Amino acid sequence: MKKAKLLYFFASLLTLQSCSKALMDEDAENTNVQNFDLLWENIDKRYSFFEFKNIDWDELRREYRPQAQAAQNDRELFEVMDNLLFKLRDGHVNLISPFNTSRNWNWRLNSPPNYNSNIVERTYLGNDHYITGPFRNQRIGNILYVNYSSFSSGFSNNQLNFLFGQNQTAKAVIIDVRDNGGGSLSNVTRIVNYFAAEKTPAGYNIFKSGPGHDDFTSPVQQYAQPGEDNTPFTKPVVVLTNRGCYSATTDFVRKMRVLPQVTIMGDTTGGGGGLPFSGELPNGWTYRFSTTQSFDQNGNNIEHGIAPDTLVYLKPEDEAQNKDTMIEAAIELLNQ
Amino acid sequence: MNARIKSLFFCLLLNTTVAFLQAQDEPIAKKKSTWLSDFSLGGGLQRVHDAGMSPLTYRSAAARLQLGVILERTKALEIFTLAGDAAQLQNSFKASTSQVLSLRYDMDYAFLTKHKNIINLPQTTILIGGSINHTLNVREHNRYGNNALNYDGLLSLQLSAGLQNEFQLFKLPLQLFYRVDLPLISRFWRPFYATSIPREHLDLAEDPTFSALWNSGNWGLTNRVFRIKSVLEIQYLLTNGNRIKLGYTWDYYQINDLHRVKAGMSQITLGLLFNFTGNEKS
Repeated sequence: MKKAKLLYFFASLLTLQSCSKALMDEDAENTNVQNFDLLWENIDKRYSFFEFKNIDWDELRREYRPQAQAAQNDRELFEVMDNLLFKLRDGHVNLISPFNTSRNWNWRLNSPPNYNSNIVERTYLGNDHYITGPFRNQRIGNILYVNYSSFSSGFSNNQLNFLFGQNQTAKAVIIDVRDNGGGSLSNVTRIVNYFAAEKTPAGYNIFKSGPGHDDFTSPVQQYAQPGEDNTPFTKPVVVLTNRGCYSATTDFVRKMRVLPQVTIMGDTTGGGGGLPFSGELPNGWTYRFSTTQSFDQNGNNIEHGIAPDTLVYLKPEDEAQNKDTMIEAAIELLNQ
Repeated sequence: MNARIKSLFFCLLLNTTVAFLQAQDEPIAKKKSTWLSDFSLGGGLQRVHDAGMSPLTYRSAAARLQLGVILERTKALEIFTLAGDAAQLQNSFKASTSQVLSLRYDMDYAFLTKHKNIINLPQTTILIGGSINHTLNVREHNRYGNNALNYDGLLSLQLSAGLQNEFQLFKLPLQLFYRVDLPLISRFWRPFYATSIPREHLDLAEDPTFSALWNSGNWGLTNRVFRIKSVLEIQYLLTNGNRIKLGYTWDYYQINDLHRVKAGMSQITLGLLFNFTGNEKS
């Protein structure tokens, strides 16, 4: 009898132990409305620019939710959500489905390109330029021209050292980051390390800290600071920019522009000062949106870009002669 | 795995097995205290619903490796366990290409006192005591960028209880062991509101210090950190003091933070308990 009681006791324990599934939350329902609501709610609680951009998110919900409900297929639902997200006017906002990726690229497409890669390649880089990891570079007289097209492209310290290290004999450097759409912030830090002689304040970031549209952390200071194992390149530097400079590239410009030997030349950067955050919907689509705000050292929000020290646009007459107005202006400045 | 590593692995396995069985010929006397080492392998199911990561529940089979040391004395039992689990989790949406790599580690020290007279069952010892547990569960979502990493860290002071029951089945000497842990107070860590970076380290200026990581956590009582972890084992007692065990672990926890996480796991393990007590007799 006692053994039976014991067996009963352990059988009960085993039964109780199989209830993980019962304790877990059910998956959200995969319906048009549920997908729309989850997208809207997550962005409502975490998006960082509602107030800065003066966006009435509740009103947009009222406008688009009935359309989502009425959507007849995935393509129509995607279109409704795309239209909703487009109103955020943010290059860091995307909805990603197997058949399309929504985006708002007006920050770039509504401005002159100010970059012609053919001219750069044929006139300035030439056939014999160096390809040092992701950096295409060429000597133009005593000036080193470096073209870096994506902060997603990694590099080694040896490569950086080759370009900007102690043995570099160039009297000045042009860093061309036009059409560089961003990438890894750690690559930004590693390059800036090569130009900062001392720790220099370069602005601050604030992070979403709660569901309210104005719930943010206190400012987190950002710096341009020297690396631990390199001698800084303190000779003159020009950074070439256009509206295609987005996200990490805008962060690069924010940090470089506080250094005394650096001149930012070209057009205002595209901006993209928010760190994107990803989410997922019950139908398997993913999305991303900004959850931080970035400011320069004067307290200006850099979401819409950073203006250059010297405004230069590509002139059509220069283009016609295979000349890049910005590179020419940079060479002229550095040769003065 | 290259051939040399394979040979070494099989030699070690063979040596261990021979040593385990050889010792069978040398019965030893009952000791005041017995030291056992635990080496177990197993597998099971893992489920995670992390509201900070996804509205979907992720689940999959998981593999487990468990190591431990047990000190069994006349009046108390001390158990130190270190377990690691790995799984590639998926959601139930068939067309989804989302996957979550889940790596989990669980370290546990329990001190349990033995009580023979609490319930009137033959050969049954009730175990009552406490334990300290540290669990870290790191998940990486394959389709996310900056917030691909999600994690739950728990450091808990727990109330522990259980029982041991020795019995025979088909003339085999067996011991049934059961233990359950309930956290009373926990320090827990979750990603900050909308980033994977701990709050105290948002400036990314330097590598996170221990104090910065500690300060990124929060305190929680049972209402905030709820967990039940139970272990049920049947141990086959060999005459030399070694044991072979078949174990079932059920572990469920939920952290009721801003983004609630629920994680459940069921694991079946097969293990060898080596007796490495000295030869002194009682």
